[in-house]
Amino acid sequence: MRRMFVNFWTGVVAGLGKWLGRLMPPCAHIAQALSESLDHPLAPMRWMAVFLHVRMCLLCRRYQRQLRVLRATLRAYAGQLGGTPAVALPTLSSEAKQRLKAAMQRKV
Amino acid sequence: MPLSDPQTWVEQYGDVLFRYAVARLRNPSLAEDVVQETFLAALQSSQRFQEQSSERTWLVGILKHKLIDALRRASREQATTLLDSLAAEPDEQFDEQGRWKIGDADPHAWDANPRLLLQQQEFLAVLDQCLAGLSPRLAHAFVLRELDDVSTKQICQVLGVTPTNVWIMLHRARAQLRKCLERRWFDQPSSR
Repeated sequence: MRRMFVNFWTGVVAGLGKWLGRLMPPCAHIAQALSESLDHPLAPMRWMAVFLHVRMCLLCRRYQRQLRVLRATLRAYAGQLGGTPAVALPTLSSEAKQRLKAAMQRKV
Repeated sequence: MPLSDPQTWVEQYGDVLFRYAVARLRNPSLAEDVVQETFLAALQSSQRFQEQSSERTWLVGILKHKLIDALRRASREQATTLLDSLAAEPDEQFDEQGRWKIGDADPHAWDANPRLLLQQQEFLAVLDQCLAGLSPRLAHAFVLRELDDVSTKQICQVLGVTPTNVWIMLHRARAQLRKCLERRWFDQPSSR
């Protein structure tokens, strides 16, 4: 009876530890999850783990901010490529333009 | 608005289309080929031009399809074993317990404003070098997602991989780009 009692509570503690471990994964897993959160909604348990971890970990918080800066920068860069760029961006050389015009003339 | 004379397209739109293609393919000669394919396809389908949209929007629309075809062709040529090695490869930013390695690998504080960054020619050069440092397959997934806002489902179809593979590829690409920009720009005193 006593052994059953001990086994029961050992199981409970081990299960709790496993559950807490899942709730508090290491930074490497959080970094992957932070990246994925930009691409698809995370499952609730995973989202909760990221939420709690980021609040306690300065480096993961920085990583999250940096991923957002990267996204905003690249999306703005994409806008610049299709519009009037603030700085000089690559252009076609005059030879390349001649090649393109010749190819189009052949097609016409 | 009716279509303008196709002979003027190269001068009017050549540079815009080329910049758009180079940013995604990271290869000027391949980008030139794709721009040529775009103009030729536009010539063939000029009857289908909808006058409600601008000529440039129409040409960029055709270019997007041509780019996806080019990326699909390129991804077929690369061995899929890269994905297996990516999944198995240990991440150098973390120690054995999965914690950030303090020093060179951990995220440092950035003082960054995306709009201001893009007004600096030197930053664009560094960004370009960092993007060029990604392996072609990672770069393809990354530019489709981050520059074109293509969904991961569509990226799976283009590259012929599973969503999990795409998420790993995007994670690796973001981590590499972040680290490269930090080393070559944000950690440099002259960049501030």
